[in-house]
Amino acid sequence: MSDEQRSGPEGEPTDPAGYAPPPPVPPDTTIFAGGPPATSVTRRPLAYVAVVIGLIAMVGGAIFFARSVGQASGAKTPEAAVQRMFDALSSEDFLGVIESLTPAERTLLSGRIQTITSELGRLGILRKDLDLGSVDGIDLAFTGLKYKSETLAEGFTAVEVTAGTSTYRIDPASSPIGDFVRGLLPRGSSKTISGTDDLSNEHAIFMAVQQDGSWFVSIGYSIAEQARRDVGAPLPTFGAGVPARGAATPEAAVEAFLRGAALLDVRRLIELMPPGEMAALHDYAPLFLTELLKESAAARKHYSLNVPTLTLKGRVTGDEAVVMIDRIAFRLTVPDAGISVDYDGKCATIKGAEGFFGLGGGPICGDELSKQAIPGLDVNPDIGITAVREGGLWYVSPSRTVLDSIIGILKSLQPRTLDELKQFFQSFAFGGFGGFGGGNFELPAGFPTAAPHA
Amino acid sequence: MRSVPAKPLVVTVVMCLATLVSAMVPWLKTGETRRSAFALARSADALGFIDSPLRRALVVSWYLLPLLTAAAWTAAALRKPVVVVGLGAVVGSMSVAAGSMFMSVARPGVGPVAAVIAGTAAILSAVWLAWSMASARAGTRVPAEGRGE
Repeated sequence: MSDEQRSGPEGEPTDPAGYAPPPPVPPDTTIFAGGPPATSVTRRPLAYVAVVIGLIAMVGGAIFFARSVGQASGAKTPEAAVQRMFDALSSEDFLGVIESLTPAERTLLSGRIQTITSELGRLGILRKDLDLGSVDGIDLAFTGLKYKSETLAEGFTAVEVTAGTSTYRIDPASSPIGDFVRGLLPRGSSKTISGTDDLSNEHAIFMAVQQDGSWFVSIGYSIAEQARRDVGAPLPTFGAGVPARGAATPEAAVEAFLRGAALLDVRRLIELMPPGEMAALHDYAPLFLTELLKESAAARKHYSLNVPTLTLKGRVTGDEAVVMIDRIAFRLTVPDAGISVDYDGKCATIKGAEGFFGLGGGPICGDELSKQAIPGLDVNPDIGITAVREGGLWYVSPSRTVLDSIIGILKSLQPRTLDELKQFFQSFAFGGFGGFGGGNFELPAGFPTAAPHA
Repeated sequence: MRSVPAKPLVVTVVMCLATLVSAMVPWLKTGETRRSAFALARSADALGFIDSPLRRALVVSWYLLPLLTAAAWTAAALRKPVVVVGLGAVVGSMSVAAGSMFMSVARPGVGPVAAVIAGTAAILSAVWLAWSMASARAGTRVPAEGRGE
């Protein structure tokens, strides 16, 4: 090893062990790190300030983390929950409105409303580029709201709107209505509608429900409580209504539900509904169940339904399942009306209904059945019964089933199908009405434009 | 003793701060309401979109962003560039992932775009810092390596 090699940078001599000393570095461009505290650079007071600021920020960050992870999504009081919903409505904040609802209702609505909107946009019923986060043409404002609260039970408060005004303005020209619906609207309907309502006369009731220490608005409880007040029924005992009794599998839940429906067993139907999503129904059911059971028992005397074959097939996604009827055979008879329907899994034979839609002319089989279901429309929507898992058991969700069925039907439709439907309605118009309210329907070529003479 | 140029260290911390700021600007506008990335995470949770352990972990880690940024600042002030490199890379990756994930599913506001840009810059500056450290280390060892020959 030569002397040159032993030398450090710029010819500086190496230490006795042969290591070069660190190169000189300007203190303003280089800092030192790792190992013991640097001796060649003196820490400036600014560095200490930076460390202190950093440590304070870290404490702040840790507090933010702890609060965010454990933060409840609801409001602190029942009135605040209702106000939050109105604030979101005033801001046209769709997400905010959904967020003000109970967790079970939110889960039910959030994704489905988006899907329905998107499908309606595809069909031209709503605008194609409609963004629920920014709906043009509709302005809502709720101001000066005052509330009167009544605690019905622990965790259940009825909040009545006692004062306030709502102001609305709808501009059809820029509203989210799609081209298809615009074509049906009468001329002159592009006029802006606006007004103000005094909410003190409405006596609107919103039920706020407490869950995990936070308050949420419940659509289900609000409807039930409003209905109870309208009929003057007594207050139910919250939490002591019809108990939920789910099934081990989605198929079992749906089968029990279908058999309950066939027998008009209202109690069993309610038991099979999800206790979270349909909590209001479970709680308020005792108010009307006795009467309904009597009526259903009376109704059972007027028909008979026999279901010898019922095979179901479920498609599970997380805590939801869509259960389809894979095979069914049944015989329904209504002796009073002289009607009977026999379905063997392939063909339906209807007797005693010859006067209705040409039924009763012999067995209707296969595709003919779906065509008979929606006259004039050849659609075959992928729909089933939606079951939901709560607390490890499966229940039948009527609201999810309805919304999913709407989605299924919308998905099966094409804009062309809507045009066919439009023409179907035109066949009743004979061109004289020009559509709903004098719109601009176009009749198919060769279609009679005047009513035929007798 | 390892020396590190100050520039990449400062830039990495600044980019981490920019990432934090990008998380606070509007990510989604619904009606007249604007939501930051954190408010959006809360909304997503409230609406039931956080329905798997993986998504839960992502949301929980997102709430760590301010703490991680503050930690990067503190590490820089304490002259711990290795920690800054790690935190810069983590913060940047989180920001890029969140921003691009959101942009793929919704019409974004300013936030997600800023998050992707700031996050990418944070990653690049962390790489720059790491490279600078490695270069500085290599520079001090040149004579030592020479001694071994």
